[in-house]
Amino acid sequence: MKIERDMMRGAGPTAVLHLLAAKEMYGYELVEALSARTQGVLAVGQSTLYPMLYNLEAKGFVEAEWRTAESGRDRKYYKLTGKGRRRLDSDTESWNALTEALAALGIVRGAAS
Amino acid sequence: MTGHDADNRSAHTKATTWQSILDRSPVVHIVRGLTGKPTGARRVVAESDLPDALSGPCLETALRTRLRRAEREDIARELVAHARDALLTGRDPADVAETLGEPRTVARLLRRGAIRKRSAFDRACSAAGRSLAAGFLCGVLFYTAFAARFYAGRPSVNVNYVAKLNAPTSNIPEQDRAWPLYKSGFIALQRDAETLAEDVLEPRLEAEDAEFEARNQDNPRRWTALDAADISRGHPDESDVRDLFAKHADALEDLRRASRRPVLGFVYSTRARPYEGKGRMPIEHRYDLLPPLEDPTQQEPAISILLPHLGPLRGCARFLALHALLAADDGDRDTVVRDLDAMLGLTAHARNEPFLIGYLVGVAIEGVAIDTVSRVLARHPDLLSTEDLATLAHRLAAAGSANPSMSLHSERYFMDDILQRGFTDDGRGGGRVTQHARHLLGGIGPGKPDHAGPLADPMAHLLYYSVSPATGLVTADRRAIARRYNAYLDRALAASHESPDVMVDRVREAGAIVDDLGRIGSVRYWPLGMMAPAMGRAIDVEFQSRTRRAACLAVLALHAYEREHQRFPGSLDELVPDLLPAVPEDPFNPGQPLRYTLTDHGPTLYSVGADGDDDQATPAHAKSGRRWPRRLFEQGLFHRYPEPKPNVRDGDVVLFPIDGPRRPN
Repeated sequence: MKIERDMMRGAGPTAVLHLLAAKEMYGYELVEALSARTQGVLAVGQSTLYPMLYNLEAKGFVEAEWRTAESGRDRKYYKLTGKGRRRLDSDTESWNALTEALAALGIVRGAAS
Repeated sequence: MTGHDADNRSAHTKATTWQSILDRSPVVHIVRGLTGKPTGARRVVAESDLPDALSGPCLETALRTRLRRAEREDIARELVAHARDALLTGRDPADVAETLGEPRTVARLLRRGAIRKRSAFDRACSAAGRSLAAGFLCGVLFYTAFAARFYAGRPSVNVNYVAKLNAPTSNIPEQDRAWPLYKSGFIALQRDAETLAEDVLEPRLEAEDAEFEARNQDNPRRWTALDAADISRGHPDESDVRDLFAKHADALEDLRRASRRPVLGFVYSTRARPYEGKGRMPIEHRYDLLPPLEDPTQQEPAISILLPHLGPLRGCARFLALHALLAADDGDRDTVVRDLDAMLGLTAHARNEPFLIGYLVGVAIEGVAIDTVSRVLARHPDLLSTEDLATLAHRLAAAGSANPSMSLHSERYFMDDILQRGFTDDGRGGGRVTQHARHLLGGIGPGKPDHAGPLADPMAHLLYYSVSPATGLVTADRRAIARRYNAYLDRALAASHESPDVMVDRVREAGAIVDDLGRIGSVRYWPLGMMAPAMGRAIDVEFQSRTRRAACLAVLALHAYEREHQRFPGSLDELVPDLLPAVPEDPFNPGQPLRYTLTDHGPTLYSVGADGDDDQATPAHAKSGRRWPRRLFEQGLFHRYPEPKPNVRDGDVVLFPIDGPRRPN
């Protein structure tokens, strides 16, 4: 199922912050996680993910760091900042309220947990 | 997940190693560029060993972001890492390539995000840089447009100012022109005088100088008679000079005849007659000019006119002075009077020249004449008759009043001509400067395309043509320059008629019109700095001339009084009104007469000098232990006014006798 771009613009950053709240992740790892954990609903390509990560980084919600594995492979890891965590908490509350409101209207089947 | 375990992360090392820093440094980037190796994003992609289907889009995306080199490199690394991770999952390169997106679109999004990542300071600097660049571009566009206008400006050369200078004499018949006779007489005398000076007089003087040094005694003779226009019986040069005049009696007569003609009649031109012979130019060729051109566009600027006649006019005066002094020694009063009369005629001819330098040469000639009158009277007080004294006094007064003020209309012509050749003409007296102005005024740069002067170097040419339009940005309008220039000349001329105590202030006020313009003004009116004549010095010379003339007239009157009363008067007041209209004023002591003393050796007439106090006719140079100067006024009026300066030298200016106190016979 494909999500409208406007909806994705609102949900995508929260989803990414949520994933990074659990652990540091690199770009492709995020792509895979979003796709796998949302059954493809919030699947994004690199053309969406990286600009989104840059914006989050610009706002101070995430930090990035290059690391080199023993294999010599470079990856840029993103991790949540304190400011990002507060933003995630705020966004989570907003989404819960929204979902409950939509549920009350019968648009969604149940409130998110 | 991609299958990369968290365990692997512990093995990661920080990317900010020295190697990483070096890899990103501009120096390494430049060195790699010079060696032909790829740099930045290209290097990252080249070293990634990705298949072409992926490396191409990754590189294109990174490059299309048009970000800074380090940012592009960072993006390329991230895209490459992303593609590698995708391949590690076993996906087909073509499938992965599809997920990369269209490079142009992705690059635009990445660029936007990357710019947001920059610090506020960085973004402010970038905005400022863009503003500056935009401003600079606007400036370049404006300057380019202005340069085009500057180089498109064309002066209109309509007036032939050389012809205007020649107009007053163009209808004068040949027999009324003095210059042809002056020239022929001078050439005849000068040809032999040069040989005499070089072969005899100068070597003799050098030998005397060596003798003087050996004896270490005072030596009154420091130049040859021909240089000093002074000679008397017993002078070492006497017989040689007498031989010269005996040989060229006709030439001397030519000079006397010329001095009685109504106008000088010299035809001004900017074109010297080329001399193609070898060796030193014969004297006959030195004063020949080609006729001026009629077409003003072909004619050189009037300021380039050649004035080869001024030197010969001074030379004629020197010959006549020497001849008069020798005639006085011989008791030939008729010849003395005729020679002095001729010198005063020369004075009038030169003073009537229509430009400042001609006028100043006239003043110098008059000075030679006055000196000669003074010497004749000092050495032979009884030689001249009362009638001779009256004749000379009238002629001297007439020479002074023939052109009582400096004529500067040629200086005005010169500026008008420069303006018409260097500026455009709006038909109302205004106009803007063109590329020709600087060349006309002796500035750097080529005036013609084929110019091969110091700017033959192409880079110098480029610089010159790039910078020249700036002249047009700052230079004042043609009308404003002309107005200021003429105001300066008018004020300076008016100042020359003031009394000496007021004159200096007035001259300085006039000078401020062209000198005290401030930094901006001096740039706006830069042609004035090149064209404005030094009127302060000219007026100083003019005033000295006036003083010396007045003193000479007083000396002639003193001797006329002595003829009548068999004694000199007790004071100058006794000369008024029969012999003088008024007692001459001391230029250094306004309101007070020149000082007059009478000793057993005769009368002495003097000014108190620049220091303002009476030293009883002891000259400044004598007080300082120096020999008699060649110039009577060692210090001009500008040393005296408005306040005596502390460094003004003590002593008086002795106007008669000019060669020092008369010694008893």
